[in-house]
Amino acid sequence: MNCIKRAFLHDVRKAGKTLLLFSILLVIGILLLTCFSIRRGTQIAALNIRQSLKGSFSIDAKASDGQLTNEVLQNIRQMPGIKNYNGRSSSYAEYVSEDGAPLEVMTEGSFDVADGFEHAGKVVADSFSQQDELFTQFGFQLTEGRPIVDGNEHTAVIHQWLAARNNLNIGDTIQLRLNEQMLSEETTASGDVKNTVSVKIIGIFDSTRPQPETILLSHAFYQNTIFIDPKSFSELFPKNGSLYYETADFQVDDPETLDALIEQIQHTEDVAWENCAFTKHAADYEHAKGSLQTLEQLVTFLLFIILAVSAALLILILALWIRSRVHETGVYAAMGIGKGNILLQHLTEVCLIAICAFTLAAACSSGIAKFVGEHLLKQSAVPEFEVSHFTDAKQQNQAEEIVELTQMQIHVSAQDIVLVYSAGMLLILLSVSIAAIPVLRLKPKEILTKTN
Amino acid sequence: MSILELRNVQYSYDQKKNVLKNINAQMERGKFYAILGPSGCGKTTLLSLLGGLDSPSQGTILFDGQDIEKLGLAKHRKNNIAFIFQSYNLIDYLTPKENVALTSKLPPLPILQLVGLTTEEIKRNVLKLSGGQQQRVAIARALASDAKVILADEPTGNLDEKTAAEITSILKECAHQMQKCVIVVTHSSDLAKQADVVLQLKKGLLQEA
Ligand SMILES: Nc1ncnc2c1ncn2[C@@H]1O[C@H](COP(=O)(O)OP(=O)(O)O)[C@@H](O)[C@H]1O
Ligand SMILES: [Mg+2]
Repeated sequence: MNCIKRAFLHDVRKAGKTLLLFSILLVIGILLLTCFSIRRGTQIAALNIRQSLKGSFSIDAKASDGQLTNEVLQNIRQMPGIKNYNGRSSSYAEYVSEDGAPLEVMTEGSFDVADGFEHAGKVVADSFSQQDELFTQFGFQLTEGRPIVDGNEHTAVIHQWLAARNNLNIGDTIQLRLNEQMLSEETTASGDVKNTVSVKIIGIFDSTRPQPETILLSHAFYQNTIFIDPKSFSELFPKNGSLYYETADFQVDDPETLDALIEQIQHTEDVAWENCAFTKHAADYEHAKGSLQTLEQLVTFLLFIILAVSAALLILILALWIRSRVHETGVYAAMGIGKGNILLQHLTEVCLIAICAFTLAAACSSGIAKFVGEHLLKQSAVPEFEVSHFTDAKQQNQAEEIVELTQMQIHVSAQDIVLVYSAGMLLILLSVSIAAIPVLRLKPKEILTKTN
Repeated sequence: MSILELRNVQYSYDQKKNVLKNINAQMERGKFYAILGPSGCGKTTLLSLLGGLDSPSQGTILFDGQDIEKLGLAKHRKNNIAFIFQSYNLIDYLTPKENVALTSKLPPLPILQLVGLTTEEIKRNVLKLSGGQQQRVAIARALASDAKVILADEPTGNLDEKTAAEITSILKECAHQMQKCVIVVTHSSDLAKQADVVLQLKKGLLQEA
């Protein structure tokens, strides 16, 4: 008779013991399954939150004299982990109609109208105008037409007020021009200065919030702001003859990777990066990270406690039982059944019960997941995170959104069940071995003299 | 030719006093041996050496002319020896049939019937059998293992006179009809009378009576 059959017969005939061990292992299985599922849930939630927290970084290359070219930007944008990008530049220009007449700009409420800026406003170039902070954070809204997207050339999005005042509509062309005063300031302009660029109006926006109450010159007014594409900007303010940006923002998939990405960029050699300033925007993430880690650590800690207590309990019970079977061990030894074989029998006995217990635990897993989701997590003090949006075209007004950990998806996966089986079997191997050591160390003779 | 041989066997538990001083003996198949001696004289110790449960402090034990130490004690126990104990030592979660099947190289049923158990008793919980019946199962277990040597330590010690006599005659048949070498340790003179050879263990020495 082999040890598996002996183990099976033992489990069947010693029903009381078997039932007790079954209950203990069932509880252990359920607890482990619960912990594993929460842990995985936390990890998934952590990833989701990390992604929704939208870490980003900006490169300020104003001092680099046009080195942040479109080529550099496209290279960075293609790096894995970069989700979104926007190249931006800004300056001031004079606005003129297609036939050369200066446009009327808003001067009402201006502290002063500077010389040469009587028909001027702020020119903002964006790869994607919708991603400009004026749209994402300062309440600008497109009311007509379409926004500027990467690749557009000679396009403009102007303020509703400016359009109405100058009888401009979508499809009309206007000119942006640098007059004498502006050119004298633009000392960095080099080579063949083309001081006029024609742009076609493709969109009209409105500013829904009042401009912050600081002392403003007319050309800084919201109404006088014109968004154009970076190509037009590079023609109006040429530097080295290529398409360039003064600053660029990059949104990343996972804020965790911010530092690594920045370092990777700084290792490329196209740009004299020492002239550029890198800024990380991940405050929300840093804040949330702590809470997430705490929860995960708590669950991991709990897991270890459960494993340790289970191991202790199992070792205690099994040691008692195995000791009460010294007699039997001696009889087997006298028959020439080896110690390894006897240990294997004890192991098999527990494993057979464990397989049943863990299988039942796995069968209850959907119930467990439901319970955990509905009771444990709701009742516990789950951290909430305020997430401010970096850019999101659909939610321009909603700068903030609440992400709750209670939305954490808890379900028991096959992976968790495999984990429980492995952890459980390891636990049993450990417990049975430790419990059996004192008995198996005895010589067969000693065992028999103890029993006789 | 002898199946078991003891050569200058000595044994001590504490390295001071030898329980067994200098044992020399030969045992043959087909014979029924009784080892007599007062309690505490070392009978169980001697039997455990023969059965490979322990090793002598000095001297050698040969099975079929081979040193059992070199053969491997566990292997010796498994292939050559079958034990029968005073307290039967049946596995309580196995039926008589399963107890016999534990190490059996032969079909258990005919052997159980041979030692006088009914088909109903064969399937009963072993703890619900009488002492005599349990000892019969133990003997059947020993026979089924097909070992050439059966070592029995006070096999009738817990049994009444009538049952003891029955067990003794079964053991005797094992020796005579199945060509086993049956060695029984006892202080029962009734049992000793049935033996082919009676050995006395006295003061650490083994002598034929
Ligand atoms: N494990 C042991 N450790 C020390 N002394 C023992 C041990 N087993 C038996 N003895 C001693 O060895 C002697 C022989 O014991 P044993 O062989 O059991 O005698 P018997 O079976 O003849 O009654 C006794 O004096 C006993 O006290
Ligand atoms: Mg004894």
